[in-house]
Amino acid sequence: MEHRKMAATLRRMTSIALASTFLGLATIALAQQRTPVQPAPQAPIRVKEIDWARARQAAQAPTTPKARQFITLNRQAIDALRLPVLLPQDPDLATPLRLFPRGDSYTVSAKLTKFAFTLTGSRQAFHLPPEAVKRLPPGGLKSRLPADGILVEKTESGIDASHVRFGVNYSISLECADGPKDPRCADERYVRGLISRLAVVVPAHGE
Amino acid sequence: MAAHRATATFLLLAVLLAAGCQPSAPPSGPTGPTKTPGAKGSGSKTGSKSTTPTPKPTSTPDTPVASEFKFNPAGQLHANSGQGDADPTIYAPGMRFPIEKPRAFANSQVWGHGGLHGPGGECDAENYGYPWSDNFCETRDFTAPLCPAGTGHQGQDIRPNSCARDKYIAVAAEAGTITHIGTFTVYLNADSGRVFRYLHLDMHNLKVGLGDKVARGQAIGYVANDFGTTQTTIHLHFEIRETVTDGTATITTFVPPYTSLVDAYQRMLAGEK
Repeated sequence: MEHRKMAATLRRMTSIALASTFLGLATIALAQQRTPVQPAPQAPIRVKEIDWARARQAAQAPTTPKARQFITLNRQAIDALRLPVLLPQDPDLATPLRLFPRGDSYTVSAKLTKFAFTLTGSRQAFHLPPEAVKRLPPGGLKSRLPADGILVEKTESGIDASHVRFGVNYSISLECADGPKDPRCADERYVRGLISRLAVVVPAHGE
Repeated sequence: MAAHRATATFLLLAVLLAAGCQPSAPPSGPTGPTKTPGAKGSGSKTGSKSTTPTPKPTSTPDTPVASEFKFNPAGQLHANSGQGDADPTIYAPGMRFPIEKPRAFANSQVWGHGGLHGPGGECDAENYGYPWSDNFCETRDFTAPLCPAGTGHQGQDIRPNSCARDKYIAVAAEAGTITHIGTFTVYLNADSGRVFRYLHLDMHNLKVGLGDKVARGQAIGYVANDFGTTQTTIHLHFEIRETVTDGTATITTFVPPYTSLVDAYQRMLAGEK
C-alpha cells in the first residue's frame, strides 16, 4: 500500500516537473522570438577629459553685446553645467536664443522667420556597437571626417555640422523652410562661419 | 489516473499561460524578400515631388491584428533604392513607438506609390500594408557616415494607418525636453542623451512648445505633410541622432532607427503603453 502511494507521489512529481519544464521552455521560446536581434548599446560615457585650460583661454576673446547679454541672463544655468559652453554671437541668433541645460550637455536654440538654429554640446558619447564598427570603411569614423575635423551633413531639413573642441562634441543644426534655396542651408560656408565665430563661456565652477 | 489528470492539467495550464504571455500577435520575424511596390515617390526635397494628397481613405481597418505584422530585415531597401545598412542593433532600446496607435507602416516615400519614383498616388492600399521596409540609407545626397555609401536617407519614413492628415498622433519616444521647433521639424532631446527628430508634423497644431518637458508616450503633434514652404506625402520622418565613438573619432550623427522601431512596434502590439 505504502509502496503504491510512493509510486503515485513519484508519478505526480514527475508530471509536475515535466509540465514546469514545458512551461519554462515555452516561455523561453516566446521570449527568444520577441528578443531584440542585438544587445543594445551601453549608456553614454564620457569620452575625453575636458581641456579646461584651453577653454578658459578661449573664453578671454571679446564677445558681442548680444552674446554678453545672453550670458548675463543665463549665468546661473550656465554655471551649473559641467562643460564649456559655445554660443552663437550673431545678433539675429543671439537675440531669440533659449538655453536648455542638462549637466553634461546643453542645447541652445533660436527660431527666426523660415529659419531655425540649434546647437547642442555634450561631453558624453555612445560606444558604436561592433555591428556598426565592422561596417565602417577602413580607418573607422575618422575616415568619414574631413581634415579640419568638422563633419558637415546636408540633411532633409537643412544642414548639420559637428566638431570636437576642448574634448567636447558640439553639433549645430540649421533648418531652412526653403530648403536648398536658402544659402544658409545650401552652402556649408555659412555654418562653418558660425562655428568660427562661436563665443566660449566657461561655467564658474568648471570641473 | 490522478497523475495523468495532473499532467493534463499542468500541460493545459502551461499552454494557456504561454498563450497569455504571447503578444496578442505572434512574434514576427523578418520575412523573406517581398514584392516591392512600384516606384515613384516624394518625401525629400532632393528629388521630391510636391504631393497634394487625395484624402481617399484606404481600406485598412482601425483594429490592429498583431499576428499580421511582418517586416523585412534591416538593410533591405526597396528595389533599386540604394544600399541599406544591415546593422541589427537596436539603438534606442525600450523606446516608445513614435505614433500613438497601430497600425503604422514603415516604408519608402520616394519609391512607394505617390512618390517621385513610384507609381500612382500616395493613398494606394499598397502603401498601407505589411511588410515594413527599412529606408535608412535610401539613395539621397545627404551625408550619412553610417551608411555604406557615406550618404543616404537619414531616418525612417512611417505612414500612419491611412493617408489622412491630422488624424494620427506622434508621441515622445522617450522622456526628455523639446529643444527645437522649426518650420517642419521638432527635436526631442531625450534624457538618455539621444535626440529624436520628428519631421512633417502639422506645425500649426503641435501639442508641445519649446522647452516643454515631455514624458515617454506624450503627444507631440499630428502626423501631416508639412515640409517648409512645400508639402510632402503624409508621413512621419523619424530620426535618431547620437554622439558616437569608435575609438578613432567621436561624431554626432544619425543612427539606424529601423530595428528600434520594429522592436517598439512589436511591444506596442503586445499591449505595452
